[in-house]
Amino acid sequence: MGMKNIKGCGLGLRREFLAEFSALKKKPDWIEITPENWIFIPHRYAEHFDEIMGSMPVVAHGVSLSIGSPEKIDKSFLREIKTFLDRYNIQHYSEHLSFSTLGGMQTYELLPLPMTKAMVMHIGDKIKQVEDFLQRPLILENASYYLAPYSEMAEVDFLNEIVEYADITLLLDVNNVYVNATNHGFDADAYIKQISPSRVAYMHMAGHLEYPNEALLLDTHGEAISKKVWNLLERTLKKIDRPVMIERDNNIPPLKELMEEYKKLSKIVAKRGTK
Amino acid sequence: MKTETAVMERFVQIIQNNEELSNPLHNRLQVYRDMVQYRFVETIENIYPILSSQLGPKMMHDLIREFISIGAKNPLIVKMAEEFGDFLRHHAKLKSILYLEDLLWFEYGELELLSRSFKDAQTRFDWNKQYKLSSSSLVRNVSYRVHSSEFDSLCTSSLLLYYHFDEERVYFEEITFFAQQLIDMLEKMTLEHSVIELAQIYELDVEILRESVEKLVTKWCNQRVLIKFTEV
Repeated sequence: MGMKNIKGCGLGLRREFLAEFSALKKKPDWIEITPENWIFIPHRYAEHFDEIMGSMPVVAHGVSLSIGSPEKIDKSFLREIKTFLDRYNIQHYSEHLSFSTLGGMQTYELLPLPMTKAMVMHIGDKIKQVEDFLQRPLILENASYYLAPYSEMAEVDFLNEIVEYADITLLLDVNNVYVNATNHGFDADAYIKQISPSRVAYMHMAGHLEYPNEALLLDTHGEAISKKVWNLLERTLKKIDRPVMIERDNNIPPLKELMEEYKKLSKIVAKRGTK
Repeated sequence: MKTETAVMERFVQIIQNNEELSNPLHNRLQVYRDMVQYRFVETIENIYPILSSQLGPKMMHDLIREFISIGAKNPLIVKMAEEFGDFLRHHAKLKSILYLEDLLWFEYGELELLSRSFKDAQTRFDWNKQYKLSSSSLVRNVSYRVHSSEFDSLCTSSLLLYYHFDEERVYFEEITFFAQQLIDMLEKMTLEHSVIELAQIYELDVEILRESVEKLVTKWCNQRVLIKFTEV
């Protein structure tokens, strides 16, 4: 299932380089924005933001939906998201397979879910509610996790079962596959092999960090993409021919540096023939 | 979902609270605890830098940890800082910090103005106009001159915060009560009538008063502190 208007390579748009981005002659093919960061648009960014949003294909990638929480969907939050998506006519909305809220209390982090059959159904039913409310399909991302509390199935099976049950598409985060495979001792390529290409909407690439004093990779989005993750992407692209983007949220470098990474991504994707 | 809910509740309870994690497996719980705490600390210290330095890192971090255990309610992290402000206002340990309310307003006010988008059109000076405070400005009486780092002596003053459109930052200015009264009056009557009324209240010469009010209101119009008043 392809995404209308979203083709080739994308970049996560951040406030830190908004004006510079606006002035770029050769922009990325598309951008991804985090709606929670733009619901209140500061005056100094408003003009550039509106100009960019009106001139490029956009995907909204949320962080606060908390799809796995046991409680009902927060309708007032969803209303804010819908208003935002409608205002900019954004059709593509993705979120994380995780939870961040419990009993109405926020942690502002993506927390790991018990990977069980009951959770598959719970999330599947909530996805329907979200889609009905937003009047748009929900794309779900495989999140990174450092613990798998009370899990009765492998992550990839959990992901596939949700995708099938809710009939949705995936945002396949290649860095998260690598990070999770390293942290939990599974084969990243075998994981990718089990993902149905037709169920992938688009893909993420990001950097990670080695956690000091422990054999643990942290999905920080604050570093350049590692060679091993680039290699995994190349192998993934042989199987999954979908748009890919770079997601950088922390230690944001000058746009020039990010665009170098973007060029590298474009070359890899072009080699595969997806552009 | 009963077991799953119980597991998730226990998980959140562990990362929100400070119970000791002795099992080596728990190192990964500590990772989550650190991530959550870092997120709160980073946001709160960026928004309340003066308060953070006044309270010191230990007390601030203890308060943040306590706030995490109670839980923020708003899904938007930028709004979490406002909730943290309310948490501090009602905290028993901070009852003796008399400047707290003023400092919270001063520091959060800056964020509030920086987060807003403004549509108010700039207006020109006109004696026959009514004006109102723009959405790019905030005014309040403060009991402590927190803007000048004077935290110990009670000294009531009136403070104006405004967004500077060219420099894209927030400035503050101490204004007189007279000026604040003028702002309040301008929503009810024209500038001309406001000056006449203020001259009567303060027993001042209208012509002399006109001169200083013209300068002040012209400046505020240029800064977009005052905008044209329109009845809703």
